[in-house]
Amino acid sequence: MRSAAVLPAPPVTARRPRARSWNRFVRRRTAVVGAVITAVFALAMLGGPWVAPYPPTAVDYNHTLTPPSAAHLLGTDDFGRDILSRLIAATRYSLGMGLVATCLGALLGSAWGIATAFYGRQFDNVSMRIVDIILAFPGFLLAIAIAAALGPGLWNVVLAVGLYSIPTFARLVRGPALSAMGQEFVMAARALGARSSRIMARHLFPVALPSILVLVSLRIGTAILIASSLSFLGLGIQPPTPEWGAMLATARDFLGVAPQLVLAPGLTISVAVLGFNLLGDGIRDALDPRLRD
Amino acid sequence: MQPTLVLSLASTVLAVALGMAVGILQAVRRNSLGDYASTVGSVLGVSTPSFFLGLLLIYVFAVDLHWFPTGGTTAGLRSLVLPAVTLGVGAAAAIARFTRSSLLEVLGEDFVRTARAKGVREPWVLAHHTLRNALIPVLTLVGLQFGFVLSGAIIVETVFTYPGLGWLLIQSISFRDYPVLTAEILLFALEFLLINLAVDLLYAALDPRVSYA
Repeated sequence: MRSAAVLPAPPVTARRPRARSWNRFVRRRTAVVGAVITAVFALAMLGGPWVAPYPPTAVDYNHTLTPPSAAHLLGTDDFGRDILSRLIAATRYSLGMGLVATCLGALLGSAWGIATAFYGRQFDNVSMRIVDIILAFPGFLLAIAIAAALGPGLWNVVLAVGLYSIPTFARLVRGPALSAMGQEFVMAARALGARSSRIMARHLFPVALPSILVLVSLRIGTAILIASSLSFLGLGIQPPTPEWGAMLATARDFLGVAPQLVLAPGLTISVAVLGFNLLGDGIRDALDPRLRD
Repeated sequence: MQPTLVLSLASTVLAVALGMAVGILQAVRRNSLGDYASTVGSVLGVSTPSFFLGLLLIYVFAVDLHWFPTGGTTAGLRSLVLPAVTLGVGAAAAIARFTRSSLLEVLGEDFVRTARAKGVREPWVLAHHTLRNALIPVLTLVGLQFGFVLSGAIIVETVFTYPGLGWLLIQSISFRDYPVLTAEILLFALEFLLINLAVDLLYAALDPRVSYA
């Protein structure tokens, strides 16, 4: 007992891991800025129709291409529609597509990665070679090819961007799942008679979850960027529907007359992607167990 | 084909030169104001969509200042500047971030401390002991970025109506010209694979531990 009394007190940092991650996240100012930006966009997405001053498709031919004013904070476009309202309404599509597509890719990709780690051997070999082949294409080209094959439209973009994230998630999840396969708790679960699906869902999935969360938060920014690029090229959402990339594409023609038409959606995309990237970096640093504070 | 290769090469060279220079400066002057400013700059560079950046550059340098043409290839080298910058900035930002972290990692190694301890001057430490080691992972990234530049060329060529592969790709999609489309996508994938092969071969040249006997 005496020797125990001599031992130094455990350091304050050795608290519950969750609290430590949280502290590490809050201490990084950039991460908090990212979280705030993301929260603002999330509010605009959820409360859009109540926040926007005008309906996004209300035309006013007496006030087309007006510069920013008190009535129209960001001015109006070539049909006299209020740009601010359209930007807010577009949050649903632009951000929503990024979110849904990333979650779709994460879901299918994680399932693939866990399955390939679980069944191993030939299955693992073949499915990882398939991943290699898909990753041999530059990602954006793959999304364009899928979007071109499916035709334009909201769900086709989601599908294109989602499919393009699958192999990245599969490869990422395979690592932790594979190392968990070699540990005793998986063997114990099998000895207790757990079915394969139970082992995968209850024992392998939680091990891979932190890495999945990190990649999701880092990928959302990319997904938004790619979805709006597709719309800009005319392969995504079609013009009457408000979407940042599509708004930029129409605004191109009025670059000389009304530069705010280009600036507003462009800056919105940049800030949104920036917010998600900062948030993702913060989450990665907070969850990475190799980093010590 | 040729305009796209010229454009991609120009912007990759630009991205490598700019990215590495900024990254090395950042690592050497770590935690200075310049380091902080260029970190913010590179995060912005990664987050800005190339079509927005392209339109901004057109507005400032073509519509307003008349320094460069708004698009096409008729003005020779001058018409290459804006598209190449647009395409290169994103890649430069990624390369700068990576060069900085890779160099910082190598600067913390024991052999760097040894070199400094025996009185080697700082520029020599940087040039002979660290840069070569730090550049190997950067090279992988440059190869990857070249692939991104190639697919990014699709957007940039559309913005600048630059007659290359990417513009043809978008045209063939809008005209539902599937044979051309298929050939295009295969061509892009082929170029991407060839670049990866070249990068793998360059490893052997840079790192004596790697050899393909």
